Amino acid sequence: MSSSTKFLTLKTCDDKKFVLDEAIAVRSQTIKNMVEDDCVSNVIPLPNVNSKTMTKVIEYWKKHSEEGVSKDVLMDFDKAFVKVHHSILHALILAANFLNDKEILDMMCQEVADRIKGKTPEEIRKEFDIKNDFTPEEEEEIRKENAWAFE
Amino acid sequence: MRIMDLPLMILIEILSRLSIKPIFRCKTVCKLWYNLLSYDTLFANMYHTRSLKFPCIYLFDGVGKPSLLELKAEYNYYARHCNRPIQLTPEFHYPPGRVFLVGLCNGFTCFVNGSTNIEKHFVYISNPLLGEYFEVKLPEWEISVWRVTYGFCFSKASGKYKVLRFVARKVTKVSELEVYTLGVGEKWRNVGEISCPVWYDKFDKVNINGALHWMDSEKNDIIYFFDIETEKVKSLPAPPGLVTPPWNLKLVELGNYLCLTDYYNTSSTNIDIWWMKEYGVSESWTKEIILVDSVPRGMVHINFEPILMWKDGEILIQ
Repeated sequence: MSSSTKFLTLKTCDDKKFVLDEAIAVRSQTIKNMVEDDCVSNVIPLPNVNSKTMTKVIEYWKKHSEEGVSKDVLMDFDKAFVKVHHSILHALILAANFLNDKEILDMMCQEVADRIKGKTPEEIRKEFDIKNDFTPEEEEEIRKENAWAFE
Repeated sequence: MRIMDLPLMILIEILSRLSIKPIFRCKTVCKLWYNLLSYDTLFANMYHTRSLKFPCIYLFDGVGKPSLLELKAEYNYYARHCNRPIQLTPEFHYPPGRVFLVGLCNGFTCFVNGSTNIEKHFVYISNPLLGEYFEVKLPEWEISVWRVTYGFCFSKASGKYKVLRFVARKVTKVSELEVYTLGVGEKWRNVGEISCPVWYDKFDKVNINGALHWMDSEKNDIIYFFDIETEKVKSLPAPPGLVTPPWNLKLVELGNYLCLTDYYNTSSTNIDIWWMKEYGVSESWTKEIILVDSVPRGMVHINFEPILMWKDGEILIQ
């Protein structure tokens, strides 16, 4: 590690602090902009991210910053990384959105889409805790319109 | 943290990754999703950019009933039951009656219903993704009209869709071109006489470089194009030294290149596909040959029409 290694302290909304190599933290475009604009004091507050989510993000950043990791290993890592409960997945999406990390955002959105794609509307509602706000008549009507998609 | 708590932008980002069937199923989940998937322009735009990943092809059966087939990387010919084309529903996705495809651009399709040498015919624009179609109001039929021919084009630069109407007159033998821009008031504009002959029933459907292209109907050395922005008709040279008559040459778009297939009789040993490697440069026409021998026997047919460039440079041929 070179002597010029700088560390940043990130503070999540639940007041946990994470000390991180700047070179890794700038995977977040938001943090990168802050660093470049020189508006980083000692601690960077992350008001939209909790510590549980941040731990996951940092785990990802570190793995993807390691040197000499083969593509296959990274792919396996990513596969395991997205296998989390919906609530964590959605929290990660929000965090990635706030931190402006396109890579994580992209991967997570794809994962949610993959979880939606093979399911019927009922299964989707159940799985994602979505309230059916159609009246039975409306639902019947829309279903008729889209009948072919249910074959 | 629920999916419904995500910002709309992100929800759209997620839903736009779905292929067409799941999208229609998702419409019935709740009102918010229904509205997003049916009317949200951001969704529609994002979807169109994405949909290149899972192209759909339009299939027409003998009686003009269209259906959609989603192409998937893992497509398996022998497992057709799970790759069944989606039968589009009449009066919902497309107009009733027997329809003919005029063109297909960027997710929109244009159909004509009826014979275009009489007054009583109709032109429709349909968006199969949204499951909607509407009728294009046609100009009044003048007694001097011999026949009309329609074309449909899209300009990426301006995001405009235009319907072309090639009007051939009986006595004067003059041909004129009329243009209708979608979504900006319902007026057809006459953009002047054009001298280039157009096929009786259709323009070719090649939309590339902001222009609609078609082959001259009599000569095999000239390709015309309608520039969607300037609304001028210009021409390009066809590949040199073709001997095939123009009605057996087929213009196609492959991987965003203007291409021309030359194959017209079963005794030919190869199918030539000409690529205009550099748009507008006649010297850049490059020939690629597919040996007919390399095509499985049962599939050799009088007509080969490339449809699209699949990943890894494979070409899907009809």
